[in-house]
Amino acid sequence: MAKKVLILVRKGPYGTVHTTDAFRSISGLSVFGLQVSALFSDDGVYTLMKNQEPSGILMGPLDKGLKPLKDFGAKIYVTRECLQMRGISEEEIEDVCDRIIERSDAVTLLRDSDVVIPY
Amino acid sequence: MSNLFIINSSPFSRKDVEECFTRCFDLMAMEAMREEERTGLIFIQNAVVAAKRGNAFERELFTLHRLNVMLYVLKPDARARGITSEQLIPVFREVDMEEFVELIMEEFDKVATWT
Repeated sequence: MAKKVLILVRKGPYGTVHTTDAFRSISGLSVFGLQVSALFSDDGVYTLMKNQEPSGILMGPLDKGLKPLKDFGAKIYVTRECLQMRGISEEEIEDVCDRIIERSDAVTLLRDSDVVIPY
Repeated sequence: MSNLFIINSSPFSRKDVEECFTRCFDLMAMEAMREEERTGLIFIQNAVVAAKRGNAFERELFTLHRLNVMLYVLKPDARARGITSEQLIPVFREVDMEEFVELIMEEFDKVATWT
């Protein structure tokens, strides 16, 4: 049975390489037949925001990289509590999430994964 | 005398942003007695998320605004993170890079960065 890998994205999308590295891990591990899920929590939820326009800070938009991750077969989850604390509604995030989950579901997801890679 | 504080970390990831708010409350309490004093906060880089409407720090920011603290957010950093003008808490003024430089060089006497 394929191992379950969970990529945990906890940092904001710009200013560090964490999120781009997370994207690379998701796509890279997926092609090796692993069952990859990505959980966006804490400031990582900003990665899912619609209408990112980072040309003013000379970077490429990371939200455009989300749909290709789905094409690799990755499941995408986001924690409801983290969205609410940041005033982000479901309409304000990209339509790529398999599920918006509660904190208890996030714990289950972490527990049921064979490998957890935090970014 | 006027003070501009530059904040560059998300208030959700760094406790020092809350600490900055507390120092501003202290400063404004002192400055209430001296009307010529003025304080501004500018949110740049990952800190711009504090300016999004409905977030957990909205109440503190409204209070700072009521205390006459000027609140600015750097537009290119907000846009990068998908935060539009309509999504900003209405107490914020958006500034571009040129206006940011003007705030530092012309409008405020002293500048401190909270990192």
